[in-house]
Amino acid sequence: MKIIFFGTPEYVIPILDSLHKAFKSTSGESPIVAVVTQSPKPSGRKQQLEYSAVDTWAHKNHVPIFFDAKEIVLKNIKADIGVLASFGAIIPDAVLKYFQYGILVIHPSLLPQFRWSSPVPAAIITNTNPTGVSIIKMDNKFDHGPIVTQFKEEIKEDDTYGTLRDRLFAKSADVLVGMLPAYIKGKINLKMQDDSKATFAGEIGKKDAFIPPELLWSVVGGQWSEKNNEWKIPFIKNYSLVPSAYSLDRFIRAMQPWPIAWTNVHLSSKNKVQITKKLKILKAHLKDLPATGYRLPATELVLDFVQLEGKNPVSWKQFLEGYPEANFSS
Amino acid sequence: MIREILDAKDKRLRGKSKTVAVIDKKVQTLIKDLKDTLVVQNDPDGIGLAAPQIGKNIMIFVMKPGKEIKTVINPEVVFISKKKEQAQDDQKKNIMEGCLSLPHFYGNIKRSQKIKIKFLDEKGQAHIQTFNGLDAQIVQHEIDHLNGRLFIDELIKQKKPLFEYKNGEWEEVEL
Repeated sequence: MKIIFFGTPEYVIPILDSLHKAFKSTSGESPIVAVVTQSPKPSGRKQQLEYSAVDTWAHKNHVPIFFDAKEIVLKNIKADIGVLASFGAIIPDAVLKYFQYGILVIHPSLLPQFRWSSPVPAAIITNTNPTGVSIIKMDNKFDHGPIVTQFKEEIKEDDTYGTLRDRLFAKSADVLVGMLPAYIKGKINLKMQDDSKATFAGEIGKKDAFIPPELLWSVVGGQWSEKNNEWKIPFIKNYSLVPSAYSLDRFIRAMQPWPIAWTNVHLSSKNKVQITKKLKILKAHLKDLPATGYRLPATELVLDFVQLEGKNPVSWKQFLEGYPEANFSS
Repeated sequence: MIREILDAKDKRLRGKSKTVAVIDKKVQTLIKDLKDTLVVQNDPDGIGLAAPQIGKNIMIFVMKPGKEIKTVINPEVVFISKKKEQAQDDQKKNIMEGCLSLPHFYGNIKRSQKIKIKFLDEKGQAHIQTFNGLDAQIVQHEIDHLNGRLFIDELIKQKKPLFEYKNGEWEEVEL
């Protein structure tokens, strides 16, 4: 089997490793005949070129590296099938048609749920449990192609975007290797996606990780305001949360390790002028409050670690000691 | 807008819903949100959704037993049959009852097989309609939501076990 792999970040390496091990020829030749990945980018203070994880993997395993999918066709690289996971660019039609068995896309959600680029944080935020992975055959629309196989995976209570994503890709490596021979033989019936149930989660940026301060404050005390019952999540198309300790806890986990949830906090400077700064919420957890004489049982959000812009991470307790005047009104 | 469906633990599901006084823009938006949210549910598929489930304690629910979505505002029970049975599908198999606020949990609940309600549709037109079988079951389940009740309350009352459907298998769970 000759495979061309399209992908970029570290967390897709298990897929490359599994394919490499499972379909190695008797003479030790890799089934991966080429990788297509994002070109190295200058990064950090010294602006040194940073190579993608897939680039580094291919270099180590003596596999040819391309930065433009079209080169596969131009250079006539012989391959049966393409496998794509977190590639980060569009595949031209000519490249798609170049493969006899098409390109299989590994997408970490149960499609048609959460098409586009942020399915994992979207599943955590919306409490779509179980979520899972879909392996689809690429067609000319984004994340629209027929489903070859799917598997489900429970979201754990302490899962973050990072931990869940790594687990989903690691498991999909085994699933992909298990189904590829049957797929090539044409023994798998592909299933069209039900477009009427499609939902969409676009790219996340730092601004998407913002928590309105009044929402955060209301649940840190184990209460909520009846007025605040809708919190729009911009990167999930057409979706809103009901603010609560539960949804904020999920939101904070869904933004780890990147872009990290943040809010605005008002502090007063030496001359008593109020200044507003960004406060990152690094870690939080839920705590059940038992019923007392006058209060029903409730669940509150407890902040563990925070980081004020320009400062080091500190515990929530340390932060309040350092800034007793801090307030979170909008 | 697709709205978050509250989990059964959330207190807002236990509140009593208020009657809708006017079907204004806000109410129309809420109805649209209920529909948008119901149709995209696919694990499990949704057949009914009440306003408290998306955090609004007002008397509205939508139901989708087949292709069509029906909106029910301010339902009042006119008649309900005394005899309770479990609803059945076309193949005469019993249908277990579940809830989008408690996904993947089901129970064998007996419900009245006939219910007649008075209600307003989304245009404010009054209707009196009789629902049978599965439709009657949905109506009773959704009216319970408007009264702050969940199907697990009914299970406890009927002394029936709760089952979780997980990884293709059924498992009995403690209530």
